[in-house]
Amino acid sequence: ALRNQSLYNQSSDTIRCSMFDSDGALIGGAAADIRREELIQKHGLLPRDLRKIEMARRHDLVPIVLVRDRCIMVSLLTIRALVKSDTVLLFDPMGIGMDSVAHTRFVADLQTRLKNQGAPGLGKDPLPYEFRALESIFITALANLTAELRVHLAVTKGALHDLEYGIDKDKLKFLLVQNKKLSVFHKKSLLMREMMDDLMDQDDVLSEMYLSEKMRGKPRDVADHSELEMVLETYYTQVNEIVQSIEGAIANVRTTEEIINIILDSNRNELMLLGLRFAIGLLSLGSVMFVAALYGMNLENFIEEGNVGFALVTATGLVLMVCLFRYSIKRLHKLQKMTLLGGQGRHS
Amino acid sequence: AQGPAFFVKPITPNDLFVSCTVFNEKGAVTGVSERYPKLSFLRDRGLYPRDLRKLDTSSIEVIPSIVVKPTCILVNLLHIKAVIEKNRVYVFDTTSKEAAARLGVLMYDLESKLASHSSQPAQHYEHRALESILVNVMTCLETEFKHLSKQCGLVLNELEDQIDRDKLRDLLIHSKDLTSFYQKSLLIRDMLDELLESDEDLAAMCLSPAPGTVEADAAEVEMLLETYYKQCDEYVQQSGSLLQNIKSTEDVVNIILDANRNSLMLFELKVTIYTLGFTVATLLPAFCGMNLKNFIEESVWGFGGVLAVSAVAGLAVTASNFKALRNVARLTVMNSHSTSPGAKNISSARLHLDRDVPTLWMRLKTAFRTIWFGKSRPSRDGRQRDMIWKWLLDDTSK
Repeated sequence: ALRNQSLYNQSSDTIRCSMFDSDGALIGGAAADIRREELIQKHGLLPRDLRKIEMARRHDLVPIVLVRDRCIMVSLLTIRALVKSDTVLLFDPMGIGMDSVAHTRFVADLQTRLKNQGAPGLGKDPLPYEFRALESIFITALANLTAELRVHLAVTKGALHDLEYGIDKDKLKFLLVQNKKLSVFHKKSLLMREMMDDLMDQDDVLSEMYLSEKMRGKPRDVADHSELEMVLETYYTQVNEIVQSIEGAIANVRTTEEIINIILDSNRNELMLLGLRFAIGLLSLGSVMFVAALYGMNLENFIEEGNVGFALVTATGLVLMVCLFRYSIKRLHKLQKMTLLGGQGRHS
Repeated sequence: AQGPAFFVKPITPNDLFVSCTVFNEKGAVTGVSERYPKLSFLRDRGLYPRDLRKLDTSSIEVIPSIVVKPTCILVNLLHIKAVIEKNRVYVFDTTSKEAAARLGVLMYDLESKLASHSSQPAQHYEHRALESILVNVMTCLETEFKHLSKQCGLVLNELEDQIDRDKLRDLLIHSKDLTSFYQKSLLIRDMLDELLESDEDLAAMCLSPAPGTVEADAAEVEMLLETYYKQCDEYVQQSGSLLQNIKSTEDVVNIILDANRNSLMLFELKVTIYTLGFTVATLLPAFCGMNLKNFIEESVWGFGGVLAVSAVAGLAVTASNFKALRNVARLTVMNSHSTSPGAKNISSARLHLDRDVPTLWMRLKTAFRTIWFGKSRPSRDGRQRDMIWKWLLDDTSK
């Protein structure tokens, strides 16, 4: 499936594409090499129109629908196509293989739509050839977007849910990766929505898109394009829905990030507090050890022979320990209260 | 015409003269770095000094502009500053070295483009000039973007695998360059957009109108500008999303570093707990070590008894401290939720807690298993399935 890195073959000056005729049948087999100049002359293009398609990279974001005199150039997600009134030129997809499920399904869908036999029970599609092709492109693009959206949403939800109950490095790293994917996806769908919005705003472009009628010599009036607008509007609402739900997911991620920050902060405070308690215990034990160590020295201390010496020293040491411990704990509580009450705890 | 080997050299600015390279209507270079007196240059074209102020050799090239005048088009894009007339192109020389090198490429391009008539006879001279300038600008943008995205992408990928502050700093340094690139491309895009919006400018951009074709010419310019607008938009969006990526990476990396600090503190606490346990255990032997009469020196059970008591005391204190630690950890995990947690959530929280702060008993169990079965044996625990698959399966089952 990994055939070519770029569509445009520099040495032979050709572009790979498949051509469908007015019945949806492939002309000249799948993925033929077509000379660039031939393409330009035959379809009334300018070299710069092809540049965008030639230079297409895997991660292109901006979708394009360019209406030219006799054709429509479409570049949506992975699909790059040139739609004419009786021919569809489909350039090889970037980023996905020629034999991938998505692509084969798309080609099959495109062919049935172009053939336009009409399903049993349903009449023939009244839309002209070029709109059937466009519709198929839009449907595939949207289906791909929706599938991607579902995976993103499921994974994001799972990651966030798990994070709320246990923060660890692996999950956070996963969140990082997911975060990037979400933002790219958001941009992609947002740009698609904007593109459709722009398209629907331009009356002249919309009526220019009736290629078949233009070929028959009676171009549409500028204001008369309700069928196309309806088609576009359907897909616009779908894209809009995708954009909205991905925005919701992104907002969720952001909120969760903030919550995690708060949790981590409060966790750190409590850990420090606990650590201080342990340190206080160590300190008071250390004071007793000091007393015991004093009498453990092999030096004259004048009470070696007394009977009460051991009890006396032990008791003093223990009392000292308890006093020190209680005093320090009290100080700690005072400090804690002070931070809570904003510095007024000192007077109480 | 000149030979093909001419170079654009950086010049020193001069207030009285403008210096530029001139192309005639056949695309031949008629003058390299030719100096014109400024005033007559302006007077010939009906321009004011303020029109040229941004163009001639000024080093500030942030705001791009294409200004349409009745007799000419003033172009100021990145390093290119040019005046396009209906049969002449003046490309102003620059003062900086790199810009001069890039201008050299433009010169060759202009020369060949202006000379050719074959492919599109309909295209006007000024449009061809404008197009080759735009192509040059887009190529510059693309090269720069490729470079930047390679740099940033590398650091971003590394950060996914391993996180440290140095890489984060590198990333922020790169993001500065990226921000300026973003701004640059955004300004160019907006400028093109503005131009596309105003119909008068589009119509006026055709400097040598044949009668009756004004509208077609305007449409021609519109298509030209639109194509490059889309190209520029791609760079704007790509760099924008890269910037967004950097920002979210920064946020998450900060969180990860925070979490890391917390687990460091947790570890420190564990060390402290063990120290405390040992200190408690040392207390009794220390007392018995005093050179004082304690009445058990002669007893047979003295040593064993003291050892046993101190060991038990030490273990007890350690165990109780660990319990306190577990409490703190559990509270923070469970507190994070306002709604009442479900059974699954409690178990996942529990799992997390057990891994972070195991009890002494569990620790003994793991140690025993490791000794008995060796390290290779995985724990048979269905709860720890691979995270992503779990989420996906959970979702589809609903």
